[in-house]
Amino acid sequence: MRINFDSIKPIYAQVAEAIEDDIVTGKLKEGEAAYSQLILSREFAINPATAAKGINQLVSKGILEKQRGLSMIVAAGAREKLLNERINTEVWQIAESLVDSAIKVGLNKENVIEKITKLYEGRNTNE
Amino acid sequence: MSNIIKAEQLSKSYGKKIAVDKVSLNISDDCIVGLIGRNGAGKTTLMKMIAGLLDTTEGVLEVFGKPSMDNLGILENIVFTYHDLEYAKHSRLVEIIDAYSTMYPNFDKGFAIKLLNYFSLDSKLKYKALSQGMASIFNFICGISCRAKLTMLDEPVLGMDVTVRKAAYEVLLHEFNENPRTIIISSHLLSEIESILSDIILIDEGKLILFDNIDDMRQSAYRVAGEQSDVEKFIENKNVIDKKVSLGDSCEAIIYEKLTDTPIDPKLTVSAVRAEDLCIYLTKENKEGELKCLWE
Repeated sequence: MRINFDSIKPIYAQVAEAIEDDIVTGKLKEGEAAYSQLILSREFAINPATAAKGINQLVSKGILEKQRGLSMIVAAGAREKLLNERINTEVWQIAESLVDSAIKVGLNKENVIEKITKLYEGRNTNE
Repeated sequence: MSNIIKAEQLSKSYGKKIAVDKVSLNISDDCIVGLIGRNGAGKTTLMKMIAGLLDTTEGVLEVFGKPSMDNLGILENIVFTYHDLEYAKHSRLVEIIDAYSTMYPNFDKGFAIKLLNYFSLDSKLKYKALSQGMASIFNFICGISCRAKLTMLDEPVLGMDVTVRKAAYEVLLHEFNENPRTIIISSHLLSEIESILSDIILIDEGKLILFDNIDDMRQSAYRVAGEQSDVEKFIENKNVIDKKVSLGDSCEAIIYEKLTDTPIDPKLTVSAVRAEDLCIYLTKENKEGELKCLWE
């Protein structure tokens, strides 16, 4: 992953997201050591203070845990927590852009809800 | 964290010309600070005062808790590199390195020699035989090999080609991670050094425009674009630092405020303002229309 400096998303949030990606895909396993501030600084060529902010964000979210000493480990249950979070945000994001597009082309709420209801019904009859 | 530099209402004038104008700032240890400003903004003057090479005209300046002028105990902890090593012109690189290692107790000669090889510089060359880019690399190598608690690099990449610049930034970041210290880099190429900085100082015409943590600075402004009427409505009562109207009534505005969580009219597009662009907006002279005059 590369850092996108043009993104509205802060760099440290992008770093946090990159670590989350590796937890979701299983590259980083629960209970094992997570990337250190220095490794992230090198990997992304960013200031270590910015990398530390990304790590701290995940610590306060309960995804990473500070172990005795300085090292960070992936918290138990981190992967499931992230999966749930991603399902939610992704579904809601699609819903949001659906509403945006609907407004742009002049569809009202009723039209959209009707269509979604039909889609749900279609799925149900298929089952 | 402890304080390395404390400046209060610091000023420097040369006759009637004010080079640094009432600058106040505190710089702590173990950070990489970008000192950004246009040519003649006062960057070098500010660094020379901090290095104890220039007297201050007014205000307070403390480095490691003491005035930096004529204080040898402090000076071995400060290194300041700039382009013209006038006094060393006829010396060979290896001799200059030896001189540095006598002046700076933490100077790592082995590291300096490794860096010379890394950047393919022959230590037997004379300083005056170096091209601008090579001289910059050499000054950079000497500066970071001092491992001084306060390291100041004035336009360190001047004349370096883009691949060498990238290598230099990489070396700087690695070295900082291995041996943390306070590093101040002056530059007008913010976009290239932005990612390795922790803090930024922006000066213009001697005045401090901004001194902030780089992550906070990146979030201190945003851009909205859309139809002019929508944009105008949105920017009412907001701190707008730039606005452009282009063809077809489309409009773009730069807002110097933190983006809030309040939902924004979906007809508008919101995007990030790069740190370098923000610096330009904050120091731009009002020269609108002047470009056209050149051909009239």
